[in-house]
Amino acid sequence: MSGPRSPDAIGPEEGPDDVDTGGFDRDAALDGVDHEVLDAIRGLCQSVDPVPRELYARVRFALDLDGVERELAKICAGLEVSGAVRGPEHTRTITFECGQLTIAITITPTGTNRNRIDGWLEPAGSLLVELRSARLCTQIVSDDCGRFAFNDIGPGEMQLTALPTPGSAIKLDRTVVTQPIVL
Amino acid sequence: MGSQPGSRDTVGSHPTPSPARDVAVPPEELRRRQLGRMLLRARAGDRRALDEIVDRLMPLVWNVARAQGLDSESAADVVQASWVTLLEHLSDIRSPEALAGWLITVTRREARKVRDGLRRVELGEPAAFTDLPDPSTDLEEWVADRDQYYCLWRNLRKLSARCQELLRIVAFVDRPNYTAVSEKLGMPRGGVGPTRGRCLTKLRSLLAADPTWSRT
Repeated sequence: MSGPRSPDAIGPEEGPDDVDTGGFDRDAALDGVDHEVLDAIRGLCQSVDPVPRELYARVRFALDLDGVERELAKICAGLEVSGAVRGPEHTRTITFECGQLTIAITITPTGTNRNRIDGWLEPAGSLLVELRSARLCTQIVSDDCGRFAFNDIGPGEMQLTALPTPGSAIKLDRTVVTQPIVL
Repeated sequence: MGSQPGSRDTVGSHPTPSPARDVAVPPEELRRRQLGRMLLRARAGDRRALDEIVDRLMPLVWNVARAQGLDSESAADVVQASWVTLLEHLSDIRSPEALAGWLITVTRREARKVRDGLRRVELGEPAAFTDLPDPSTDLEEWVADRDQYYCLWRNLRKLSARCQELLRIVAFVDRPNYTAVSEKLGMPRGGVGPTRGRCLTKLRSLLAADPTWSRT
């Protein structure tokens, strides 16, 4: 705990004698057995109660959302349409809405854990639309009628972003992101 | 990495150590300096550095939340919220110790709030290892340390809830941070001694008296 130190660093005051210790002999009070016991506790917790693997992706996803000036389009309608003839497959229609834009999407399962997403924008127009998931970030430009589609999207959390696009009939004053949904 | 000019930890005013001294620096201190560099980069807006910090400190944050007696799902929500809160306050945090301490404080506070909201009357006082799965049934027989873990688990559960929490968190802190974190958890200044007296020494004597504990 010597070395870099700033006013908000927590810890005991350091005297001049501590400067060259690198901080580690401060722990002289901990002997080898203490370290072994603490290491064993760490091993025990990691064995029986590890950090869920998906939590890393979830946290990164949440952090990516933050810090960008944006308008959140919230889910205002969700409709589950059961594909009766195709067994367990479902088509979902979800509408996201904010002051500037409405984004409606239909999610259709296309195979093992894959989905096709068809969407349209209201008002209609050509915008850069981005689909973001933990594994993927892909962009497409909607057509003049505001339609767009993403193919072969895997399961998990995902989110759409519509970006201000020069020359578009839709004038966004800032980026629109949808509430994340889980496929 | 440590020998690249300009990449050194410059969080504070301590002079840059010479490369020759690096050789003698223990791994924990190297890890600490590495974390300091990640923090600097993250504060400058480097997203990859923030992800590296998440990778490094996630086990600590997870165990802080779980040590408050939260189920996995609630703990995951709290952990996610802590990281988002960290991003908002990144510019206030200037050292690796402060970073770990800050995460512990925020996660612990939020986890307690959630726990108290969820707590039903019939639940007793939660303790870090009381809620931890029994390694003798949870782990496969071939896991090398299973018997040792079981022994440790049994003895940890004999400690007070306060000691269980402290040891579970401290086990996930880089050891040079140990003192700082003990203080964050409400232990007195220079808290290693008292901490060890109350929790670690107690555990050590329990283990020493347990014939199935074979570590020395």
